[in-house]
Amino acid sequence: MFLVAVCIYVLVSFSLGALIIWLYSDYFRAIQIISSFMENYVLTDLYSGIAFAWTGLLIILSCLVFVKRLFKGVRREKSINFQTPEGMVRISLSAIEDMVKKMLQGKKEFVHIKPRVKVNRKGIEVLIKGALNCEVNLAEFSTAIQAKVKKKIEAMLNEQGEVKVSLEIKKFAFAAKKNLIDVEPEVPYRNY
Amino acid sequence: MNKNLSSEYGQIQIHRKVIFQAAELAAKEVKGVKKVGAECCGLFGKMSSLFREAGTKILLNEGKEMKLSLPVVVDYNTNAVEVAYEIQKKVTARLLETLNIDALSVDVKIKEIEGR
Repeated sequence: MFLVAVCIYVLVSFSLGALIIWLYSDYFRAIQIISSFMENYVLTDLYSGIAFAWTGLLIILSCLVFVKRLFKGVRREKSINFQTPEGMVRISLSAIEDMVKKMLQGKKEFVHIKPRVKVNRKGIEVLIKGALNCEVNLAEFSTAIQAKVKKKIEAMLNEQGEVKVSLEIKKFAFAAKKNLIDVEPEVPYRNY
Repeated sequence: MNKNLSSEYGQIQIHRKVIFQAAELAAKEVKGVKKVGAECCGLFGKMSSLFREAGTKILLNEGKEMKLSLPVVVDYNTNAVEVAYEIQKKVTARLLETLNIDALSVDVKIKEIEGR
């Protein structure tokens, strides 16, 4: 499939370059030929038009496959790997990030959370970036969060390497002030 | 890439699609599994799976071990690694039971954790 995508990509690029050169050299004749080709062969009926459009869609898809495969060697999806008797288990770092985010989303102290997980030789590093509600004891809260996340990840990964959890507070969000409407106190016994 | 078996009456060919389906159905039976195969990759994954670019993949060498790569999405309330071990055991047992495939290595890729 990759070879087919490469061939189509090269063919389309070559044809596009040749078309641009042709348009530059003999603009009016080129436009006339292209429009007569479209009228006589492509737009004759509905089915040929649809087939032409589908061909364009397939060319786009094959180019996307080519581009994706091109970048596959440059950017690999990072994961934590275990070898078991039955094969390999791979946990992608984005799955761990999702898990940490879901774990902390329910907490009312957090206004916004964005976890990032990295793997190095020493072990796993979790960096939790977020915004907090200002009404929180930061020291106690951060210690509790770090312990909770560390315990969860260690339990899941069966303590494969060291787990380091860092918390980065970007912002404190203030609670919205309620709009108090000044009400005049009513004089008692007024309407008797 | 099909699995070929031979008996005294002739050849038996098992299409790779049958192997994918058996493996994916076995994986879905494991508690804690939400999505398997091309479903894990969204709309683009479903389209790419037509060209074998995403979803369940299989590598089969004649006379050697078959290698199956299975992407999954697991539930948040489960231990992802335990679920992966269960998937490997279940898929291996199911393919041995239904298709007589014994030399098999099952790689499980946990793409996402969903739920809550």
